[in-house]
Amino acid sequence: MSDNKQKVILQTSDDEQFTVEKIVAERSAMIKSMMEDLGEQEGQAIPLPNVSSSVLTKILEYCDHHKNEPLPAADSSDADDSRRKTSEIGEWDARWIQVDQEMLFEIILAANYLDIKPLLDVGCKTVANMIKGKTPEEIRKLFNITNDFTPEEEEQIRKENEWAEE
Amino acid sequence: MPPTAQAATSGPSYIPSIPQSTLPLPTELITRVLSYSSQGTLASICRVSKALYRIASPVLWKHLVLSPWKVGQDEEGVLDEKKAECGSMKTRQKNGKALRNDVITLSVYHHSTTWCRSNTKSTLKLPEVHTLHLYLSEYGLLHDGHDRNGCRLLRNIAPKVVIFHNARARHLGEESLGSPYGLFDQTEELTCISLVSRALEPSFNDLVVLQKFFNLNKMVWIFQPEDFDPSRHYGWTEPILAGYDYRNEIVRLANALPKAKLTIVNSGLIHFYDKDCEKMTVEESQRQNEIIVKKEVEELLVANFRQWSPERREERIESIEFMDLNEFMEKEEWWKYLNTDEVQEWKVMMDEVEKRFSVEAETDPADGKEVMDD
Repeated sequence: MSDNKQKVILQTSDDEQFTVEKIVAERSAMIKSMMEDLGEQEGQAIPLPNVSSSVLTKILEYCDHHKNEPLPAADSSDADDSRRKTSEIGEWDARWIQVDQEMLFEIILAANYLDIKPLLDVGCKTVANMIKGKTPEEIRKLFNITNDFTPEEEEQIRKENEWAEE
Repeated sequence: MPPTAQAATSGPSYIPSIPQSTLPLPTELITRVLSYSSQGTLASICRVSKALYRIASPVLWKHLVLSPWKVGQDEEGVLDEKKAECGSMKTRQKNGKALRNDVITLSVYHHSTTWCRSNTKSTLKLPEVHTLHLYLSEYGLLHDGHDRNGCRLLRNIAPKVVIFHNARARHLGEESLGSPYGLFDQTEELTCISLVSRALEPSFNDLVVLQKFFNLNKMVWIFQPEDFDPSRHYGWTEPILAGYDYRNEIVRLANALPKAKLTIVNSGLIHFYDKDCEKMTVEESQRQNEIIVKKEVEELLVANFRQWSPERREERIESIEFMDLNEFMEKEEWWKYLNTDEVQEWKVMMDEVEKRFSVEAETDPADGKEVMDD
């Protein structure tokens, strides 16, 4: 259908405008529903006040790569559950998301805001892989988190969760 | 319809989390990340900082796993000394009670009776438990060594969903498995997961455990693919049982639960573990199982439920479903109670076993005549 060739304009928080194919932009459930509400008013930019141009550039890469895949069912809780069917990250996605920590968190925040579920999962799985098997001290270092427990408190929590330790 | 473009500029849906948390993501997204973390990792995260403790602790306690075992060097289960006291759940912290209300899923591994009695003063009250996983042992069911008193850890639990791991048909004839606490009174769904080769050894007891599921409306039996070892003796190939038909056990199951929907997953693999099996594909075997079981069940229904109308009998027969693992993964909402990684492993193993047997069938000189053309 020629419908797919339609373009849409996205405007980022730093006032940059991106003209993208409708089918790419529709990866974002939030943009999709906005386009539906706007109807045929062509040429009107969709504002994305929570996404910077550098993050959007990155995310559009992802959307473009996945543009021909079926969209996940609109926000049913079942669709949310079914994402757990695979806990692995696809090869292309894994390579694509090799970015610095700051960018990774920005991608996750933007994926959440733009409502791109599969991307949100890729981001969250990536963070989960980063902390996998790490000690509390290693996790603190990784994310620059201060330990606000007293040694006694930490020991108490260790005891409380002893059953779960590997 | 209000114009939403305006709404989007006036109120961003994401507001940085209150009040200046030092964490890089808002709570809901951290929870999402943690949904992919293992229990051990979650236990570490709880100790990182107070903020993370508040987020991670409920996620960790959502699934309480009580086991005296850890994985040893050779992937064998070995007793874990650190967990020696866990059966008593001696949680000394002040918020212990609150934690227990977080438990939605409980897994209990087989253990010695001394382990779950290590501190009889403490009771395990888990009012919110919805799903119970019981990991049975090779012979001794939940307790190593017979104990007809049932496991103390299960005393105050009324799960809606129960999963028996390492189940065998003959376990269901063991009185002690049910425990005397009315454990299964509220249970609506039962899933049995058993290794293909061991699931259906003949059992001569009545399936008394099933009689304790008063409210059961669905049972799923999954035959878990396993590596095939040609040098091993598999269950019913023992000389004394030669000619024993494993499908009898499925019929008995159906007969014991006349009101529950029955789903049999992967039965097509079973016959490969019989040395004298005919050559056929997994699909063929499954189809044959279905025909034979349904015929038998129907005969039993006619004999035992004479008051049932033919329509009701037909309805019953149709409620018994046979499917392979792929179909099960597509149709059923298994991810709600099964571990995704584990199910993926089964899939890989099943493909391997299937491939192996299809190769053997093709290279078998006895019936190689037509295969050459393919």
